[in-house]
Amino acid sequence: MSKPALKGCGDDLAVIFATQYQPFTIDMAAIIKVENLSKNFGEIKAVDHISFTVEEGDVYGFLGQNGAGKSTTIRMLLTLIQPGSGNIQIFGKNLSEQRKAILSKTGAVIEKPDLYKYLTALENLSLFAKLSGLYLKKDELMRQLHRVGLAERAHHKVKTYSQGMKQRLGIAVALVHDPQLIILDEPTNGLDPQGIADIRNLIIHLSRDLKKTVLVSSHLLSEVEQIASRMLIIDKGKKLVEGEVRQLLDPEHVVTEIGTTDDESALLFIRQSEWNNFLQSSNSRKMIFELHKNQVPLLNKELVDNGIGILSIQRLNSLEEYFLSLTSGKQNVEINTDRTV
Amino acid sequence: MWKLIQIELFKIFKKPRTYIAFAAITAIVGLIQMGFYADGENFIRFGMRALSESFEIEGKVLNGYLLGYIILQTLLVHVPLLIALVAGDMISGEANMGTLRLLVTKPVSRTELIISKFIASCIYTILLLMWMAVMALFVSLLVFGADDMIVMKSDVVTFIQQDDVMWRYFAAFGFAMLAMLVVAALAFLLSIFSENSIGPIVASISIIIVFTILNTLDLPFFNAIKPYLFTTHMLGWKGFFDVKVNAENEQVIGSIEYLPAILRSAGILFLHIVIFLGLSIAVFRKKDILS
Repeated sequence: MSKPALKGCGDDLAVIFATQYQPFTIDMAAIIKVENLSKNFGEIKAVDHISFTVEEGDVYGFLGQNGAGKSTTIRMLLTLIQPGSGNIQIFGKNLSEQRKAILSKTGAVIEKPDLYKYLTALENLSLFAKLSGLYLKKDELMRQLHRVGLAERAHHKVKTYSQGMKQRLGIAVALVHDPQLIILDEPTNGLDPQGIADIRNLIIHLSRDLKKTVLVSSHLLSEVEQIASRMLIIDKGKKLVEGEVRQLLDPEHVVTEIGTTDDESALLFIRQSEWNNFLQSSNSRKMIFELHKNQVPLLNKELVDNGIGILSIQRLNSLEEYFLSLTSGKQNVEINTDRTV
Repeated sequence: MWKLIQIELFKIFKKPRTYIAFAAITAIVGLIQMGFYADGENFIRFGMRALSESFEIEGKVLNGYLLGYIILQTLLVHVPLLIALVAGDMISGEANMGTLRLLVTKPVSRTELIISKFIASCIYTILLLMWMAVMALFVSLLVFGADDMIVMKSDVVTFIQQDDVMWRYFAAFGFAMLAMLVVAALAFLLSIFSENSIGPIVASISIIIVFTILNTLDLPFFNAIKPYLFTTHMLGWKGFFDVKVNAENEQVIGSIEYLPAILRSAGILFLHIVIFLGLSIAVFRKKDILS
């Protein structure tokens, strides 16, 4: 992938872009590639033309408030739900055509780790290993249970387990066939602080030591921030922003609201220029950008040079605060879904 | 596929509810046998009093074959509930527990999954019927002994020679299995639409009750639809105990009087199974797993 050309922008902006925004490089293989994925439930648009890419080795945070469309997207990745439209490629293969091959290299925990309560941990693990085509000996199964701290309770029925133990067993089930891709949907839901820390450490271990690719969804930015290398934020089924966590949460990254004398012309100009990449949302009166602080005067200059008067430039807050404002339902704006940092 | 069937059978036989049906059959059959052991002779004498006035009946009328027939006739009305208890839970129970989504994310096709679950339900049904055969027939033979079998119908009494009975029982249980597999297929299909097992179990039994009531109503409209209701054909197993007679009014050993009707009923039942299973596969393949 080449660096994006900045047509319509000055050289200064190109320099800033090149130095401040490191685009992900082409040598990484795309493990998940989602294009224009949509799903409606009746009149409700659960997922609305979402596109994103998860690279090999990523811990990819999938962030959004409850009901944003995270679980629906994940369920489409795991073939639990049929996409309304769009294309999903995993390991370079089309999901609808090579489902079995893809799922044999994928492990998942979907929200609550629901397992067979009337079976023991060992029986559950053995059963799901067989479903993945593996006949593991008891020693190997015990070793895997030991890895998640359940060896001593291996012969106890799951109905006697606490939520945290079920979660750990769910993760053992997801990992039993040594998958390359691990998809975790809200894995810390219902866990106590120690359980949350354990899951966090496990995800880091999977990525750093075992070189797994992990997609993890959450509605907590702080959680994603601690483990993810890249992330996508969605709201009301639409993609808000995707990029490197480090960059997105950079304090020098500012959310800026600009009011102009001619909003229609201003929006038209922005849409036709590379500034569209930074446009987060717009309404009839204002445009909201997510920019590096050094880009703000450049944008101002470009608008003025194109005959658009500036009425106001206001720094709103950080991405974190922006996300918090989303989760508290304060936003009422049109979201630019084409934006990638 | 065999691997999947083994897994499904493992799950079925690890569930306590599976054994309710076996325990219920053991208890009910045991009670009937105890009752007949204690007071069966009087019951038979009372039932045959009109016949005894005209004929002298020799031999042991209350024998294992007769009791097996009585038990089969009584229990086959209730066995559908026991079958629906498991078959109606196959998909809905997994949806309710939340394990269905985990199953569907494994590298197994949905068609394979549904077929293996259905076959496991069928094996359970067959085992239940076999257990019923053991309890109703073989235990009865052990306790009450063997002799010629008497079959009493509303207008006919048939005596079947002792050495002509056993194969009829095998055929009757085979037919009963087919009939019960229709119930299993129906409960299985309904379980795809529900996220708790109560719904499909109650719905299956309700359908059987409604169809059975329709069968008993002798009205032109209902008579027109009766041939298409599976409940009409479920009691076809009794046909194996109708023996042909020759011109000298002697029984023809090894014969069945209305074999074409039995085969037609078996064909219609089999067709129901194919339709219910086909619908199950078609619906499940397209189903969004939201539970």
